[in-house]
Amino acid sequence: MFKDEADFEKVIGRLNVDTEPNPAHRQKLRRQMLTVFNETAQQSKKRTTPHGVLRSTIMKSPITKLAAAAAIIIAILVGLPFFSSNGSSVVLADVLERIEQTQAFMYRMKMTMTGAMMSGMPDEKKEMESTFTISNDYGMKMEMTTTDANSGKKEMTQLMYIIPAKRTAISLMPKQKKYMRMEFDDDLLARVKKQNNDPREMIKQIMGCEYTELGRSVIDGKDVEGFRTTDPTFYGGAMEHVECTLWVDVEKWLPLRIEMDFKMNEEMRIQGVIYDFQWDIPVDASVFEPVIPEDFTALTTEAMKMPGMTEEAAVEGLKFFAEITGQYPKKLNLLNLLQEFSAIKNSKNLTDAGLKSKEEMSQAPKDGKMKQTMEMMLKVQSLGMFYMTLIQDKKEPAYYGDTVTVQDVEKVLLRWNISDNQYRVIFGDLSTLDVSAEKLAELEKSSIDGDKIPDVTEEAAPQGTDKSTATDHYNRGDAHYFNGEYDQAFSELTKAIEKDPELIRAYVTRGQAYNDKNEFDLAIADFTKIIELKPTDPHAYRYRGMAYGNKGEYDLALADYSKAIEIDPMVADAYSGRARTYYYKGEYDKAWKDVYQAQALGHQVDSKLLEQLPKASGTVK
Amino acid sequence: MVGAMAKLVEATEDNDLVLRAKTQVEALGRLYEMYYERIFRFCVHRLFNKEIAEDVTSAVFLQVARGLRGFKGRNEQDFRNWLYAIAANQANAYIRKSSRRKKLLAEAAGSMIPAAAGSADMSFEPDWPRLYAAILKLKPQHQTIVTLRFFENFSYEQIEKILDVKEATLRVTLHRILNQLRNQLQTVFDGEI
Repeated sequence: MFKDEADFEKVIGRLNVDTEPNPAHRQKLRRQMLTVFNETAQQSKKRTTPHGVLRSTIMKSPITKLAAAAAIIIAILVGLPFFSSNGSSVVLADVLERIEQTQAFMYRMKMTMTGAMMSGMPDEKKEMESTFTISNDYGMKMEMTTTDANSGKKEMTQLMYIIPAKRTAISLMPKQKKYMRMEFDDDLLARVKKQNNDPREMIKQIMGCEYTELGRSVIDGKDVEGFRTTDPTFYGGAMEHVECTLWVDVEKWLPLRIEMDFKMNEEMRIQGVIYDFQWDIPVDASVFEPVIPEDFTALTTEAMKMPGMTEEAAVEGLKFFAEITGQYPKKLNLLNLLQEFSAIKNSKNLTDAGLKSKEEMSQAPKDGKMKQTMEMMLKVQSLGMFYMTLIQDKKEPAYYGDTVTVQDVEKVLLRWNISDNQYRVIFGDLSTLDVSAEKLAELEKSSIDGDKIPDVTEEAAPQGTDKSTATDHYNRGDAHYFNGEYDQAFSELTKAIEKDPELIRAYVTRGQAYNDKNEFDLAIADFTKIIELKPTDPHAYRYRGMAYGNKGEYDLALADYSKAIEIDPMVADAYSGRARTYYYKGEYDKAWKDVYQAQALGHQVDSKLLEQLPKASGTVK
Repeated sequence: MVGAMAKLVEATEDNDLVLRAKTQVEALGRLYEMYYERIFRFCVHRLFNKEIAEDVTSAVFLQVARGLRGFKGRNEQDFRNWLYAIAANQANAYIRKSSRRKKLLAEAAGSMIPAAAGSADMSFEPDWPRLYAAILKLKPQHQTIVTLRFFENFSYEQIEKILDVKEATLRVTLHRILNQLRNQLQTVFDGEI
């Protein structure tokens, strides 16, 4: 029998309990919880986010917002290009064939978008319901209604027609009484004419990806067979997280339901379901002819061009960023590109050309402003979509925009595979060259930091025996950190970072752990990495400021806290941290000022500082 | 000098995360990722059945989702204490029904993986069903203390904040709990709870 507490602890310690969670439950509960949270938000009339005031003042422009929304919709609707399947599944190939024999069909789609569309925009929840009618002969019609989760208002927001014969898409926005005409070029037409979130493409996409057969189930009383993909190359790598499930009616061997769950980036998520399929319906040509009411005006006087997905268009996109901001975008993922694009508006680091363009734009009339925004957006989208096609086509693209600049004429900026041993390279000065794999290796070796491994090598790397994901390692590392088990925490967090060198939270926790252990240089290195990965994150600077302060590098600490405040003046902790640093430097007036600022933002300033500061400064203030 | 500063500038937590989570779904998602596994593990240690632990974990996070806007805490520590308090209450609410206790006990034995052969100091090892039966006979609040202290290895200070009891009271209570457990285990196990 156990004698005392320590003894009992040993007894319990010897029990071997299986506490491994079930990932499916974890995921399902996450969804449920966030849905409940959003539902509660609808009931809550007043939103009081500390960032709300600031955020709502940014990106208020309806034009930018509309352009952003249009970009997202285009990305969703058009960004599902045709990619040849590898035909690995007899079942899916059979389903596809059956659909393709169908002349016309209808389906409904419900989508929920949660989060911020772009950095700086307020969080939103939008529910969209669309009805699609697709005819092999006439094209496609989509009617979309949107429900604003905050107001609960439901309204018809878009009517869209794609008319392949005219190489045109027309989008009507009844609320604004506007319409937009978009033209396709030959290349895009080839990709767009048959599809639009079309189940055919979904199936092709699933077939081209790694997927799991889920076996039989029952939906709406019908026997179905399920197929699910979580392959990140689905949607051309545009999403951070992908889960697409197709349920096929086993009686007809036609799709019955498609469920989608996409996390576009840290801030935005799209969940959707495609259902209510009606196959082989009779259709009339008139259904597909857009009727533009007389009181509707054109959004732009000229028809908008749809993004091109060519190398030339991509180079134009890269050139655009270089000219305006003096640097290339950090990543080519479409959503990140749009975020970097939206950040230009508030950026203080523009080139002369960028400032001029911004100035011109601010003076332009509304219609001109719209046109200019859309033109710029087009370049950005073209770049993103081109990169998307490289990923979907598995052309081993690698992009080094985070380190390569316009001056780096011999450094590889972007490259992809064009044939067995040949790669296409775009250099820092945007010149292009076809090179052999050997030559590419040489070029990349001389232009890339030693520790940066291009995508191709990663793909070729043999799979180790460790089946844990970066997140698994992170979760374990975080739990060890929480329990004060630093050695295990370091080990797990380092593994997480090895598996996903861009897993910011792993750097945050490891940096904090190093900080706790007085390993300030290592902590600083981790926080610097976060800054490299997410230069707009004020907390990264705040963390580093803390580590510098602990190291005794007060000026560097002050610089970092100030930078955090510059990025987001609402980060109360940064004022608090800066106050401590000023206190330590003996600059008490400044310390007091920051204490007040932190308190004004509702932050509970460290009680020790509040004890020490009056004593040191000789005043209570 | 540096050391003094190190103490002054305490290890930072992402305090804003909790504030942001009150209104931003992304921040709540991050909190969820940070705590799901811990809460699930707590529930398994409290209930010794993974399926039931999943149900209770669900109840905990759904309660968080409903109540977060009204949550008064400001930082992660406050959130952590609140979360564990909810978890403790939810687990207790489950366990209060005696019919459920029987089910838990019946299943608990199966959830144990035998300790490795040759483990040191096995002479006083109580068999698991007996130990768990004894724990289940404690008051729900006392069961929570046992779980937090011995399975989750929380400090007195942490438990004090989660359960809102004084540390001295906690120490005395734990001493009594251990006595009670010892007595329970010394009596003949009659199979009834």
